[in-house]
Amino acid sequence: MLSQRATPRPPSRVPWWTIGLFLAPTLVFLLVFTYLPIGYALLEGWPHLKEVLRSPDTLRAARITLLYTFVVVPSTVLLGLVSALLVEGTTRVKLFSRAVLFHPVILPMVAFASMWLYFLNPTSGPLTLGLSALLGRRVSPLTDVDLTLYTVAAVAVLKDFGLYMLFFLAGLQSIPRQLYEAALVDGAGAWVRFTRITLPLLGPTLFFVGVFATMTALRNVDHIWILTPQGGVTGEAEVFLFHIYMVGFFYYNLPKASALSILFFFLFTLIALISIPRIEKGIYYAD
Amino acid sequence: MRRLLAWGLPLLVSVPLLLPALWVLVAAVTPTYAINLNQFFREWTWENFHLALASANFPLLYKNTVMYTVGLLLAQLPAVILAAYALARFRFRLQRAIFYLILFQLFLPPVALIVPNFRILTALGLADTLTGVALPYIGSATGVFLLRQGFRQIPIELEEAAQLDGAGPLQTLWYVALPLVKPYIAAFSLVSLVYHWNEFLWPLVVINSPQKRLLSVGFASFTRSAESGAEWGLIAAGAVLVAAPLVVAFVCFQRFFIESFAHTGLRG
Repeated sequence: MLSQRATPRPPSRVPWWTIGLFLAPTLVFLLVFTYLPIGYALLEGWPHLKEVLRSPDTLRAARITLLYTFVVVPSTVLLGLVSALLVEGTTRVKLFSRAVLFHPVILPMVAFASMWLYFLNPTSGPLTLGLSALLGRRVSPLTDVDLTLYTVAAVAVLKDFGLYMLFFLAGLQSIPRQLYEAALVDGAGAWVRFTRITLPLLGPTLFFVGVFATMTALRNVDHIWILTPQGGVTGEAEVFLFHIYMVGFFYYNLPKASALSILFFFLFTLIALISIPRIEKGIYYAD
Repeated sequence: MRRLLAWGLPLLVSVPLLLPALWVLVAAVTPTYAINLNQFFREWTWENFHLALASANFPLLYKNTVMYTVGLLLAQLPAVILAAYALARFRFRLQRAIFYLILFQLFLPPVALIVPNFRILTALGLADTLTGVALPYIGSATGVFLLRQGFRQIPIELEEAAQLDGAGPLQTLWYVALPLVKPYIAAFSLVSLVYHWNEFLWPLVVINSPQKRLLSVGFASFTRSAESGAEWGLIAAGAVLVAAPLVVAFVCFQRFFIESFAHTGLRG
């Protein structure tokens, strides 16, 4: 990880058109399918932007998204970190546990969500019945309007945290062993070693995983489609992308959906502007 | 006591996560009426699979999904390899600008622009085609940065030696650099295949004709109709059929899966 290539190489003698040909396929697809759609959304959606901004539906979707993200992101990151700490090492039990914790990541979300559909079924689901018996009153995590959003959030958390566990494991491995040995010599306990060495040195990983988890939370609505047709009984799980989907492809109001897409695009741009300066160095100079 | 914790705690956390998957496997071979009576492990049947195969044309769904995922990967690889190599090894004007142009796409997955992307596809006459589903993913920023990192790990001297021997950039890439980044290409390929095999919302929007459906979409619409009849055995069998190829591959190549997915977290 030394910057062995910090000195610039002599300018290559590759002619400009060769470089152009190397870059062309990626750039063409990027322009047509990322940048052209942005332009299209701006053109089509702009006249409807005011109307969309004033609509209570938009505000509601934004509020739901905010709450959903605030539930999902810290839980996935925390669960990922804790499980990474638990399975760090190479014993058989830890490797097995690692594979088990990771396996939901490779399952199709539609399949993963439909098995929860059984457990959470409002009349016969074992989880519904168990929870109701435990609390002594009828509770349905999936269809009680004040619980739906938390339930779909929990399904997303269980599906995704295994991936973040891997990122944290990689982060843990990059911490030099000597630091822990030195701390042990100084008589530092496990908690002190964790808060004074592990956590600070995991800082960049934490930031990266946080951004990654936020973007995943914003863009993944497959489980909502399966668990709550139409985003919940009264739309209480209608996060922003789901709202765009409903407006565009259920009510078929494409201009309005384009206007909503502009807002969504601004949100992702904001995340990019916040995180690029902090992760850029890692990407640009990573060796 | 410490040793007991060292293997007890990981198992205590991980094994419960396995239960839903095990339930699906059991339910898939249990008659639906028995599931609804909560009677497991008494009766076994392949009936659920027969019903699932009959009601959702799984062979066709498999064929479409394999064509989509493999076809997309074959289109992604050349595009991504060439761009990654150019960014890693060439020096040119606008390099920073192009770098950021690609980097920004990491933050704009095609599904975030689902409506305008669909409009562009329709304008190009590619709505309701699997090609249309694949196109927005061909210029993959994840792939470009992953492979760029791979190319930068190679000692530059090897490529310089090839250049001295008269090899052009394309030959240097093909004969010298590419064999050395095989692990990166394998990791990217695996993640791309898994991601697109599982993909749902974008193909749901693009594809209209039932005969062009992908596995996840076919399964989801079939779940919706089976759910209202509480046909859990059927749904479980469908879930097994959708996930089986990936799960079998995962069980066989666990390490490769875990290492590949760990790679997708570009160093931050």
